[in-house]
Amino acid sequence: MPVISSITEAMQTLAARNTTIADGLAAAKREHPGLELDELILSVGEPSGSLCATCAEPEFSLIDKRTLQPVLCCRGAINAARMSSHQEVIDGPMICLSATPDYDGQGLLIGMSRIEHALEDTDGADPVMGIRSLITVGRVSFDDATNTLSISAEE
Amino acid sequence: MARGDVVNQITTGVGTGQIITYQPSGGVQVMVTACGVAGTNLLANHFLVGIYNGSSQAWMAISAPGHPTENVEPDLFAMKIFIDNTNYFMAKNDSGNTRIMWFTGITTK
Repeated sequence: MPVISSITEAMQTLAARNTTIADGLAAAKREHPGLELDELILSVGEPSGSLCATCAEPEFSLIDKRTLQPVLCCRGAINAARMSSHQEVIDGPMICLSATPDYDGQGLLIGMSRIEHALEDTDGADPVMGIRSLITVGRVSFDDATNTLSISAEE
Repeated sequence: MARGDVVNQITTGVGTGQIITYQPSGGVQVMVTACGVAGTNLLANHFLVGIYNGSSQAWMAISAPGHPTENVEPDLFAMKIFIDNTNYFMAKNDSGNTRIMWFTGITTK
């Protein structure tokens, strides 16, 4: 795994995740031009029993926030829209090391589990080196395959 | 439908000072009902539970020496925290040891 050499590089891994998420939403919109994904309330009702004419994914009933009318939307498009609610925070006090999506029994995205580490050092009974300091001593690396940052043990 | 699905996570290798978070997707709400921690030296467990919005953290339960909840067995932390995509669950390992952390809940929307 390549060692991260700067905080900018670490932030770029998060930015790359956000780009992937945005690309997924853009692709879903392209493939489903009749759906206005940004206008849907993403709370999902029962499966409609029908399949999407475009991608053959099962469809669910959602509500259009403008008209409050039900709209059929396929699982793939719902998941792309829901994934866009999991953009990584780039400028927060913590930095995400790993993010794992969570799906329900119907294959709908319901949440994101993360492990995060403080950006800056913290003191106290058990002082913790922040990511910024850990990078300077070469202890942070990036795994391309799993898209995760990891911290090696102190030598 | 998603409502009523169990949300259940065990996260291993949570290092000192690290947090685990669970952020429901847009349109989803979850009630977290219990969480806990495993590892060595649990008497000095330094286990914090709260809410996070990506920038601010607020604690609702702390298990640490000297704190009023010092004697609370961390594996029995029972609670009802309602979380959504904006304000979501977090638990912090504030001990000097790497921990296994878990929580359980149920989707309510």
